[in-house]
Amino acid sequence: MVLEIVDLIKIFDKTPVLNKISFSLPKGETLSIIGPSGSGKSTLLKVISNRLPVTTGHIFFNRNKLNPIPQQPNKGMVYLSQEPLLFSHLSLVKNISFGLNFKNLSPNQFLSKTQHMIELLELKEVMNVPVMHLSGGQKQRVALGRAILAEPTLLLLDEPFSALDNFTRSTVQKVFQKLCAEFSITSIIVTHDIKEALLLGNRFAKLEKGALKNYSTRKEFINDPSTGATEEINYWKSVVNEK
Amino acid sequence: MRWIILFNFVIVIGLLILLAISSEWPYPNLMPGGYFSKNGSFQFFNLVLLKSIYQSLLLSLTLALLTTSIGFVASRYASNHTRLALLPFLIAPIILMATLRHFFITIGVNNTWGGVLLGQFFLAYPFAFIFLHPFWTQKLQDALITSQELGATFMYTFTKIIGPLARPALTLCFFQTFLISWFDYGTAIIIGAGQVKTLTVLVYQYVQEANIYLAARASLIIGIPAFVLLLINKHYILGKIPFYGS
Repeated sequence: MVLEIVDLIKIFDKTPVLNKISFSLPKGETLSIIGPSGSGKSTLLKVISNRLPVTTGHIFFNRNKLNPIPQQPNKGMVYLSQEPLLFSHLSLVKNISFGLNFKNLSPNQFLSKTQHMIELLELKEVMNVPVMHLSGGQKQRVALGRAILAEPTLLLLDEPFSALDNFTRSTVQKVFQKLCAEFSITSIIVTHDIKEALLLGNRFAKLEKGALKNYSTRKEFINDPSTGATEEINYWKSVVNEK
Repeated sequence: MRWIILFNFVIVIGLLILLAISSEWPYPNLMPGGYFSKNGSFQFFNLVLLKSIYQSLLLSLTLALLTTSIGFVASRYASNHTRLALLPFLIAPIILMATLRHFFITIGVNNTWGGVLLGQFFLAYPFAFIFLHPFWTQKLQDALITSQELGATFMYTFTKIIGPLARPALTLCFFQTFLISWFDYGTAIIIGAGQVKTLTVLVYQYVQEANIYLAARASLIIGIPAFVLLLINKHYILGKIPFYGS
């Protein structure tokens, strides 16, 4: 298991935001967590990445219990939010290859890995454009590529595509799927978009009022009326049938 | 209107320059004169003035460096104390210094260069803290963590990410704190008690001695850094402080 969470509780001002959360995540899997706004999705990822401290409970990462130091990110995890947080003074290439600076690579390896990633992200034509001038989708792709090239053991995605328009979102989602397949990424993605959850995940959970419900299969997730998946699928079926 | 202001400015500065290079202004002459001594040479600087320039420069540079660097770090880690930093500005600096003087005598730094530096630090440090505080936005803090998540050490993050992004703000803060010290009179006269002869102290001394020519020279020199820094601010720094953007 890459990640194991046991009885995790997070309390903000005497209000429990995460209530006895437990789950585990094997290597190479993507866990989609859905839930309405304010259900504690982002808090969960922030606690896992040590952006927020745990109130009680345990986090095991690569079978080691985490004893986080405040304000110090957990090694081996990269957190990606809807804000791409690109380093505005660095070029697109330097942003993407940022993580490679710490990998002891030869210049040739450095270059080929960077070029390969730029091709995968379909950013070759905007390679020389300052990152500040890139579109939202392009920025998010740069952030995604940068995170993956750093080869994290666990990628935490906090509604990373929610600020993008439908077309761009679909493009970036495809890029993400491609990267997941090539780099066997272990990740947790939180979203309130049921389609996105179904498309990107191979494990599913639902967070509601701080409580997490795990589903063992995709079918089980779809069949639970409270997830809204059946409703969503039926809606799209009806749209297609009407046409 | 702009021309009237400019004209007045030129008149004032022009007269100051003229006085600074003169040595006499006998009645009823319209303009001061005696630009050169009898042997035809002209000495703009004397030893006292040079020593004072050195003293002021050293003091201002040290203070600017100290307050900017400490203020930068403190504004990140003590971001909840912004209101506390406003405290020194509630009372006039001269009253603050008069209040602190007893403390300075107790610790034995009264009448010393270090004492003046410490006194000015009480004024410039809160300024640096407040000035640099907005730099540490949540977005920037997140970028700092992201950089470390991607494998960078704290030092690497500081030099390659935070440093370049903070450079315009740090430069501007350095200039401003330099000017706070450069133009300070109250601290230098109260804590320095006339022993630490900064340029401002020297100007007042010359004025008291009715030596308007040397007073004009010292005043002119005082004005130079402000003028230069204003130009630098305008051309190279202002507008380059987005603090952080993605």
